[in-house]
This record gives sequence, structure tokens and C-alpha cells, in this order.
Amino acid sequence: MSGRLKLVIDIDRCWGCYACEVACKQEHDLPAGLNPIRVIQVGPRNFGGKIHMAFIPVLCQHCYQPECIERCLEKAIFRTADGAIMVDANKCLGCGVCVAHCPYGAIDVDKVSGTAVKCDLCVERRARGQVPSCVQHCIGNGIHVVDEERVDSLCQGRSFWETGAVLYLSTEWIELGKHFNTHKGRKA
Amino acid sequence: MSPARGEKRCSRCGREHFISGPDGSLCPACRQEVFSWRLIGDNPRPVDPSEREMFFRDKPKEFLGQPQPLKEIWPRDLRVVRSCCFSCNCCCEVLVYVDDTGQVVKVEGDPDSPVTGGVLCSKGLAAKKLLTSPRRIPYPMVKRGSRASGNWDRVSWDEALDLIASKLIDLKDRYGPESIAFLEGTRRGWSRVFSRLANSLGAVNAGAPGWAQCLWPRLITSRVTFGSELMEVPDYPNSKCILVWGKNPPATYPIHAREIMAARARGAVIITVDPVFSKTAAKSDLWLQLRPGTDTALALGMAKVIIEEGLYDEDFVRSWTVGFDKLAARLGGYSLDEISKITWVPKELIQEAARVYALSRPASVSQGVTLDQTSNPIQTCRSLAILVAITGNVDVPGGNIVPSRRGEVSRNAHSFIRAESVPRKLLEKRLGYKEYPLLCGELAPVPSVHMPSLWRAVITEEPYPIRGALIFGSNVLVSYANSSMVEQALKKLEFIAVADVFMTPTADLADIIFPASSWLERNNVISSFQTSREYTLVQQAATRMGEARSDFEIIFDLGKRLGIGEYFWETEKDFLDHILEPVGLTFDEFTCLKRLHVPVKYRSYLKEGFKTPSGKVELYSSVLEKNGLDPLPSYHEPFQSPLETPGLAEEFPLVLTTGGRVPVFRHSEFRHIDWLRERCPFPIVQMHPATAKQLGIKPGTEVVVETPTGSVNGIADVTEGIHPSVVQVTPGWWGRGNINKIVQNEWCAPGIGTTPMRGLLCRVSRVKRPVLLDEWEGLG
Repeated sequence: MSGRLKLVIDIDRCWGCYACEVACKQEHDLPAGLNPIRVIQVGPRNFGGKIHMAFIPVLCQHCYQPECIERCLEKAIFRTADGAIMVDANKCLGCGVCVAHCPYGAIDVDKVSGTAVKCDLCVERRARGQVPSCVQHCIGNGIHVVDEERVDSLCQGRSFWETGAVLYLSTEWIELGKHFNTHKGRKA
Repeated sequence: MSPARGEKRCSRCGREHFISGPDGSLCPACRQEVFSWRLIGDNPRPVDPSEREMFFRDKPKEFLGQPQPLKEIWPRDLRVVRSCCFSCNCCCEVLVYVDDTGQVVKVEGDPDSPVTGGVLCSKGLAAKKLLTSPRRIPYPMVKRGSRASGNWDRVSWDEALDLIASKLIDLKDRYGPESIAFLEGTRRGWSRVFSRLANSLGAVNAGAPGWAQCLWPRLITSRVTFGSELMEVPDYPNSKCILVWGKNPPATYPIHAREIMAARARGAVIITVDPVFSKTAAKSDLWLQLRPGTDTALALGMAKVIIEEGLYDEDFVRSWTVGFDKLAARLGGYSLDEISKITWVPKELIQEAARVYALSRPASVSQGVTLDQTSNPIQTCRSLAILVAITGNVDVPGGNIVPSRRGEVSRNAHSFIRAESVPRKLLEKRLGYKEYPLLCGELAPVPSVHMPSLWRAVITEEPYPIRGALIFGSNVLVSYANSSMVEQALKKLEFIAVADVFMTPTADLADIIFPASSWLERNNVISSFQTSREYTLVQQAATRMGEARSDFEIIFDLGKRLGIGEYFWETEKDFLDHILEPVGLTFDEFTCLKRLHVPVKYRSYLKEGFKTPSGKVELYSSVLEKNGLDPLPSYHEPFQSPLETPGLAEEFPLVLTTGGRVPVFRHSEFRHIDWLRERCPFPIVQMHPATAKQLGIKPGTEVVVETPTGSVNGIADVTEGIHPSVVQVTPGWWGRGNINKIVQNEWCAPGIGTTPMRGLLCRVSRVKRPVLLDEWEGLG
């Protein structure tokens, strides 16, 4: 056990039902408009004569090289031993520099409390021995928290994508990716 | 504060957001979207392990914080109430966390539940907002002055109930019990008690928007074919192939979605029949994109392939069905090319779907509300039942199965709702009794009035006047076809009483309103055959808001005042004790037991046979024949369609379907809950890019959909997942987005009286002067 967490999201299992979004808002008692996890619909679009549609839950990736931590003027963003990146609400001034620099749009400022809000992998629930709320309530059973050491076995034979503690898994999109190269931002 | 703050616009969507970054400023939402596209567009990229380690290596120790101790995080002393969500019909077991002031803090799935495994959908997760909504009716109120005035006077419960009782008795004495309409909404646990009240009073004109339009056709055809509700209960966990027909489980049946996803991961084949590329279709191996309203033709086409290619279960058909030869002869009259032309589904695809369904045994059929809303729902549902019967997927593991009974008093029995107690003379007065025997007679699960006939009778006072309405949990102005006619009828009524949780447009019209409780404030014993088929579950009141009372108790008190108190109980708990009596439990004992469980018995027909007149599966239905309907499944073109009414189709060239359910709403509910509303702020009109281009419609702009009946507005959603000639509008909204304004209620399906809602004709055009998006009404 490395003790570091990995949030594994299986894109093939996402129904696009938005349960994770509401679960997150309830758990963190957030007003409407703030979505630390948001399901994005891709498609439906015609690729190679067949129509496709996918749903992708986007949330803080808990990056290995996090811009938000580096840019934060108040040093209010920190990483815990298990790999989750968190905002210290006592230090945060809500200036929004992290919002501007997050490449995933996964951090936003709560205009009421005036602090940055993002996924903390449900630190409170984990302290009580529960899994994060999105993990428990996913209708497609597509989000899992696993120890980092188990990740390699999960990825076998499947396409995966990660820049941090969140790992996206898919089987069906490997073939499809060939049709998709509309964004040239990243290299294989 | 910081220099980064200021009014900026997102360079992609143009919406204002207050922070912009160095890269040219995408708002967080757009950045998420760009990320998603990129994520699936890129070829898979393994991360360099050193990258993972880097952060931990470089940072000083003090950054590595520890999770805080539990006590500091959650200081409040929370009580956990085990209950059962009733935000929809799924009945998911939940844990409700209540603090010491009685406030509900959280509603979560119950991880111990064998039914859900701990999941809960967005509607259930947002349930605590039901309690604090500003639109809740706080206390009983009586209208002062005219109906439109909106001046409400607060009264006590006793005064309100006395007033209603005296008014109803007065109407009954003057015009007979048939002059009072008893209207209810969707099933909420207390529904059958309300039917009991209506029948005990002799109020034969009782009904709901969803009976002829939803579930009754499916249940009736399943009963006349198999003698049980078999078609409604697919055994997903053992299925090798699931045929999802006219249904989008992630939006409407989250538990079914969970089981379908599990089956899919196990390797089961998913076939989806839907005119729109739905969320379910996106996860399917085969998607049959049919013309809305032609479901019967497609099902018959599949049955034809199965029979003619000899793929049916010969043993089962020989020993356990009647009328196979007649069925085969009937199907021989259809040609596959013709069916392909009618349904727009390529012939090869029909053949493939039929072969996959027939050959991957066991296979199950998961059917949705679409089947009840075609132009001839009885035949549509029958043709699917026949698919199940000829492939032998009847009451076998992995097929469609007979639900188990746990032994408590069944509230769906005609003896419970006291249907037999209504004198024959009164029954014949029920509107639609002669024309629609399946809906109004004893075959119906709850014999009901034919709603369009009721509205017509209110307006014309023919054959007799309808004077009053008692409405429980129904937003009548939104829920019935031809809303303008319904509004006219409601306004004509002398007296309207409404019990509802929220202030709806219908409640606005009423003379008396009283506050009903949401499911979080109600005790109940839940047994739903559609979902928790092996379990009876407990629902416990977690809290109480204002003066709201459980509908059970409102109905009991009303019964007492109407002089029929002997058929009702004192309190909610007395009633629930009565329900549990046959299993030897009281409600309080049941709350400790949590759930009753009787495992499914497969192949029960081997011992008992089928509960049909012949004791076998009736492919040739003697019951339908007796009621003057076609005993064999037959296809009828939708009453309006490019083929049936080509003249009308010139004026209204597009085919309309009113499907398009979204996961965050159910029927007309939940529009006022901000957590949910932000996911779907407007009614959506889905159309193909080619259609939109031809009509000059840009995505995201307001459009108007017109039929011969009326017009409705919505926001255009341009998607490739729909046929260029089809338009789909989301239902359940009111105001300008109320879909029922464009659905007619003149033409009704034979036998059951359904107003068709799939495969109508319409046209779409741009709205020249759209209303600001923020001003959309429909808060519900």
C-alpha cells in the first residue's frame, strides 16, 4: 500500500445521469452554479459511419504538477499525504488566480463564502470510513477509489489517461480516437 | 480584491465570468468541455512514473497534511433515519441524516441496500431541497374573493376539511356523486387509498393523467397475455440480451440503468429502440432508429423474422401458448420491406436485432412509456409481449419474470380500492364506460374515467354536469393533453380543492388548498414490482415541515367527514399495521426489520399454469376478443402521419415525439430546485442539423413548435442523433413550454382511450422576438 489514492473513472460506464454532480453539491453544501464535478457530453457525432456519444465527468485531476499550488499567492492550496489537493479556506482570499490557471476548469470561487471550491476527494467522508459521495452514488458504478498500486492491473488492455490522481479508463474510445483528432493540443 | 477580478467574457461561449486567465480566458465550464473533447480525442498516453513521484519528492513535508479528525469535521449530532426515496417510482433505499433541530442535512443512498447497492440519482440526492423550497404550501388556505384574485386566507386544518366535506356532500346531494371529479397525479404510495375514497363515495369519475397514457396498457396487455405483470419485470442480472424499448433508464429508472450497466459489463448485448440517440442508445450494441409511433410495426417485423427463420422456442410455444398458427398467419400478411418502409429501420437491422434477441437466450425486454402513447397502445404492448412469449423468455432466469409477493395486503387489488362496491347504475354513468372498456371497466388495474371525455363533459355539461374537483398531488393544467381545453374546463368548475406539496398553477386556481407532505415526511410500506421486485421496503418520516400532513391522514379525515369513515383508519400507522397484518408485523416492528424479502420463484407456471382463461400464454387473446378488440397483434398507422394524412403532412411536415425525459426532472416536478434546474434550465426542442439549417434555426435559440392544436416554445438543441424529419420536445414544463398545449385529445386510441403522443405532425419555426432566457417560467 502506497497510501496514495487514485480516483479511477471508467468513461464507458458513465450514463450521463448527473447523480455525481448533485451528490457533490449536497456533500459540500454548495449553491447552484458551482460544480466541482461536472459531466460533459461529447457528441452525438458521426464518426466512420456510426454515431457516438460519451459522457465525461470532469473534476480536479489532483495533478502531479499542479499549477494552482504554484500560482496561489496565499499558499492556501496544498496536497495531503494521500495525494488529494485541498484548499485551506482560512487562508484563501478568493482572488481567483487558481481559477484562471486550472487547465480543467475544475476550481471555481464561491461568491458567497469568498473562497475557492474544488474537489477534495471527500476528505470528510474518507475520515469517517466512507467512499467519496460521487463514488457511492454513481449509477453506472463507474467511479472508484483505489490504491495507486492497483492501478496498473486495472489499466491492462484498456486505454487510459492521467495527469494526476484521477485516471480515465476506456475501452471503446481507443478505436474511436483515430477519428477524433480534431484537437492537436497533445501528442501521443 | 485582486487585479484578476473584473468583468470578462469567455472567448468561447461569450458568457460573463469574473476571472480570465493568461491563455485568453475560457470560463471554467468551457475549459471543462475542451478538456473532455481533448481527452477522448487524444491517443492513450501512459504517464511517466517519475512524473507521479515528482510532487512528493520536491515538496517540503509541511505540505503533506493529514485528514482532520472526524469530530471537528462533523460536530453536529446527527440522527440517521432509514427510509425509501419516493422522488420517482424507483423506491431506492436511502439514509436520511437529521440534526437535533429536525433539519434534514443529507439524503444519501443506503450502501446496505440489496436493491440499489448504495446508489441514488440526482432527484433523490436533491430531496432535502423539497423541504425548504419557498414554493411549499405552508398551511391550509381558503380563497377570498374571485378565483383570479389570489387572495388566500389561512384556516385551520379542521376548518378546511369541514369546508371541503360540506361542499362535496352538497354537490353529491344536488347532482349525484358523479358530478365530482377525483383527480390524482402520479403514483406516490397513497394513490390507491385515494381511489378507495372515490369508490366508497361512489365518485365514478376518478382518474389520473398517467393511467391511459402510462402503464395501464402495458399492465393490461401483460395480464391478458400472461396473466401477470410479467412484462414489467425484466430479470437483468441473468440476462444475456436486453431489449430496451422506448425507454431511457438513466433518466427515468436509475435502478434499471444500474442493472443494465452491470449486465453490459458482464457481456450482455444491449439493443435500444428509440427515435433519438439517447443515453441508453449510446451504450447499446444495436440502435434501431424508428419513426416515432411505429413501434408495433417494428415489433411485428421482429416477430415475423423470428417465426419465419425458425428461431422461436418450439417446446414452449407448443406446450404453453395458444394461437400460434393464427399469429404466424397474421404475420405472414406483413412483408419485411413494407415494415422497413413504415418504420424507417433498414431491413437488415430488423433482421439482425430479431436474430440477436431470439438467439441470445435468456433475453429480457425492458419496456418504457412510449409503448403506452402510440396510436394503438394495446396492440403495441401486445406485439412486444408476443416477442417475449414466442422466444420462451417467460418466467425463466434472465427473461421477463413474474414478480414475487411478500404477503402484505395488496393495495392494487380491486377489493382494496373497493371497486366492486360501486353500484352498476353509477358505473354506467362513468364517462367513457362504454367506449373504453379496458380503461373504465374491471380489466383496468384501477378502473378510471376517460379524461378527455371528462373535460368535454365539464365544458358542454353533456351528458350531465360536472361541478367540482378534488385534486390530490396533480398539476392538472400541465399534465393532460390539450391544456387550453383543460384550463377552460377547470375554470368552469364550481369548486376545486387541491392537496399538494407545492404551489402549482393548478393550486392557484383552487378554492381551498392544503399542504401535503413530501416523501421525507411520510411513513409508508413500499412494494414496487417494477424495481424492488423481491423486497418490501420501509419509508419513515424523517422530519415534518410546517403544517403539512401525510396524504394518508388527509384522506382518512376527509373520509370520516364524508360519512364513510368505516372504510378508513385513524392514523397513518394504523393503516400501515393493517397492510402488514398478513405477515404478522406492525409498522414499528417493520422499521426495525427494514425490509421483507421473498426470493423470485422462476417457472411458476409449471405448477400453476398462467392465469389466463386458457391457462396458457394467449398469443390469440380471448379477453381482447371479448372486449371487441383485435385478438391478434396488428399494426395501425399513427392517426396523424405522413402516410396516413399526407394532406396534413404538407402543412406540418415534421414528425413529433414527446419523449425526451431528462435525468433531473420527473414529470412536471422539481423545476424549482436550483441544483437540478441548472442542469436543464429550459424545455428543449431537439432537431437534426440539416433541419435546423433548412429552417434557419441556430442552436440555443428559441423556436416555436406548432401542431393543428396549438403551439409551444422551446430552446433548439441541434443534434445528429435524431432523424432529419423528427423533432423531439421535452415534456413536463408549464407556461410557454407546456408540451400538452400541442397535443390533441379529440382522437383517442380504441379500447383504452389513450391520446397519442408519439408520431404526431408538427412544424417548427424561429421565434422572431425571443424572451430573455432568464425569464423562462415553469418553476414547479
